[in-house]
This record gives sequence, C-alpha cells and structure tokens, in this order.
Amino acid sequence: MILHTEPYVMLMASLPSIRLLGEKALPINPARLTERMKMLEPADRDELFAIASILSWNRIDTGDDDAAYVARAERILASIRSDTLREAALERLEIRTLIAALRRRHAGENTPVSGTAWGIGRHVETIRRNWTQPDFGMARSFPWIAQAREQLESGDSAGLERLILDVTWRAAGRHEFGHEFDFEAVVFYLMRWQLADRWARYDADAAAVRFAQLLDVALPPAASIQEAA
Amino acid sequence: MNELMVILGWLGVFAPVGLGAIGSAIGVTIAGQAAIGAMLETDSGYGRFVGVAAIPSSTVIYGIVVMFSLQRTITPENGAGLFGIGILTGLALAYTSVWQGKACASAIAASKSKPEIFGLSLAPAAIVEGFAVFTFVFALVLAGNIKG
Repeated sequence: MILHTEPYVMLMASLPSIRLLGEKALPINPARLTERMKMLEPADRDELFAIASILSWNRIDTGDDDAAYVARAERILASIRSDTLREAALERLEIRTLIAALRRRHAGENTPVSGTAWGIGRHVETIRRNWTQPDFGMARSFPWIAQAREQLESGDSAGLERLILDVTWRAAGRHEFGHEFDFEAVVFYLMRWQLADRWARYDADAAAVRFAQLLDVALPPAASIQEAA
Repeated sequence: MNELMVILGWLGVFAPVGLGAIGSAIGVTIAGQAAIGAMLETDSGYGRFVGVAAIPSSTVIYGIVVMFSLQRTITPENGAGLFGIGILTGLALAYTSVWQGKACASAIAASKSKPEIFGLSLAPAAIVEGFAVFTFVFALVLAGNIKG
C-alpha cells in the first residue's frame, strides 16, 4: 500500500532538474522525455493527455471557439481524480483568463456579455463586473496584475512573457509541495518542462531579433556600400 | 488466559525481526527504484546510489539483535512485557525504515544532478536512522528488566 502511494520513484529519479530561466538548452529533450513517460500506468497516461489537452498550447484544439473550449475544459477539470492537480490546472486557467482579459481590454474590446463563456474559473464574473478597473478588482488574489498591465501597455512583450511564466512556475511550486514521487509530481514536472521550453524558445526568438537589430545598426546599408565601392 | 499471554509473548519476541524486515524491504525498494532511475540519467556514481539504497536495511539488523535480547523462556508473567516491547519496537523500526527509504530516494534524486550535495542530502536519512537507534537501544535496556 505504501509503495502504491509512491508509484513513480524510478521515473522521477530519472528526470533531470529543470530551472525556468538561465538555461540555454533544456536538460532533457522531448524524445527522451516521451520515452520516459512510457513508465506511466495507462490510466495515468490518459489523465495526463486529458490535462494536456486543456493546458498545453500545442494540444489545444484551435478549431474550438471559446464556448466549446470552456465547456471541454470544465468537463475535463471535473474528471481529474487528484484534488491537487484539479486545483493546479484551474489556477493555471484562471491566470490565462486574467491575461486574456487584459489583452482583450488592451485591444479595445468591450465588457464581455453576461452569460457568455469567455473565461474559466472562479473570477470570471468578478473580472467582467470590474472590466473598467485597471486591475479588474483582482489585485488581492493576483498581486502581479498591475505589473502585467504596465508591461502590456508599454509593449514590453518579453517582460510580460517572463512575468507570466514566473507566476505560473511559482503557482506550480505551491501546489507541488509534498508530491515528490507520485503522479502529481510527474504532471508538475511536465508543466515545468513546458514552461522552461516556452521560455527557451522565446529567448531564442528574442535573441535572433535583437541580433538582427544590432546588425542593422552596425553595418551600413547595402546602398551605401555600393556607393563607397 | 495464560496461553494467550504466552502467545502474545512469542509475538513480541519475533515482532522486531518481522516488522523490521517488512519496513526494510519497503524502504530499500523505494530507495532502490530511485537509484535505478538515477542510473538512467547519469554516467557514473552508480555504486554510490546503490549504497544509499541499502541504508534502510539497517533496521532489520536492529530487529534481530532486539529479538535475541528478548529471547527467553516465555511465561504468563513475562508475556505482556515481551509483547509490549517487541511490538512497539517492530512498529517503530518498520516505520522509520519506510520513511528513511523515502529520504534516501530524495537524496538520490537530488544528488544525481548536483553531486556536490550528496553528503548533505543524506542528513535527513541519518536523522531518521537516529530514531531507529533510540528505539533499538532502549528496547535493549528494557529487555534486561523482564524476568524469565
């Protein structure tokens, strides 16, 4: 029975530790990670895929409209067996709802119509009612919202991306406490891996853009080179 | 009633070994799984991991020693004392062994990526071992006071 509560000791011990920032490359590549995940029990693998289908951007069905996605997410959230995972997934979706609200308002969209499925979680109605307030009345629950709004309005997309990843990373850390070798630990590891992967890709893209800008500044335009020749 | 006390006495005499062995088996299995997992990710230090995985086996050895200290002619008069000391010693050894296995598994998982913390990461497992030693020593002390 005791071994049953820690079914993934070997799997978790076989995974390298991950940090969010400062790593140029992920310590484990997707192919190897997929190979390791074959150690999961079939029921746990199914649940993992279900959770990924609402949280992982590359698994979310982009053909769904908002209402269909919200309905599917709520159905999957209700089916998650672990209270810890259900709460963690819900909090992540709530963070996304809040960021989506900030972006929609920044894009000039009006207050969502009451009753429409535009977000997920316990704060959807509060956000809708406080649409015109800078922090949607959510500063107590989400103290980082003022910083996110400033970064969005100033066009600091890299800073906003980093803030979102950092907030999500810390939220996962809060829920993860006490889960070291169980199914929850595996799911949290994959969540962290995805966040680190997203940052690594974002960092690489941002570096490429910055490099191109530096080249433009450092090198004279092609026309002036021809003139000099 | 007398027969029951003798039966309880026998249970108490063997409990430290039986329960200690159960705890050690579980603890070593947990830590051993972590050692195997760590081997998948590292290129060296395998012996170190296996060595750490064996740490929870110490409790069954304590159990064997306590059993010998409790072993004597079992009578209705000493049955209750043997049962009390033996069962509680066995439970404590089993419990410490299981949790020590988890502490060892955590140490292995952490030190595979950061070898410099290997020694320090074993501190929790060493402290848990201390609790098993307390149980062992005081079981021996009390066993000397049981007549028989």
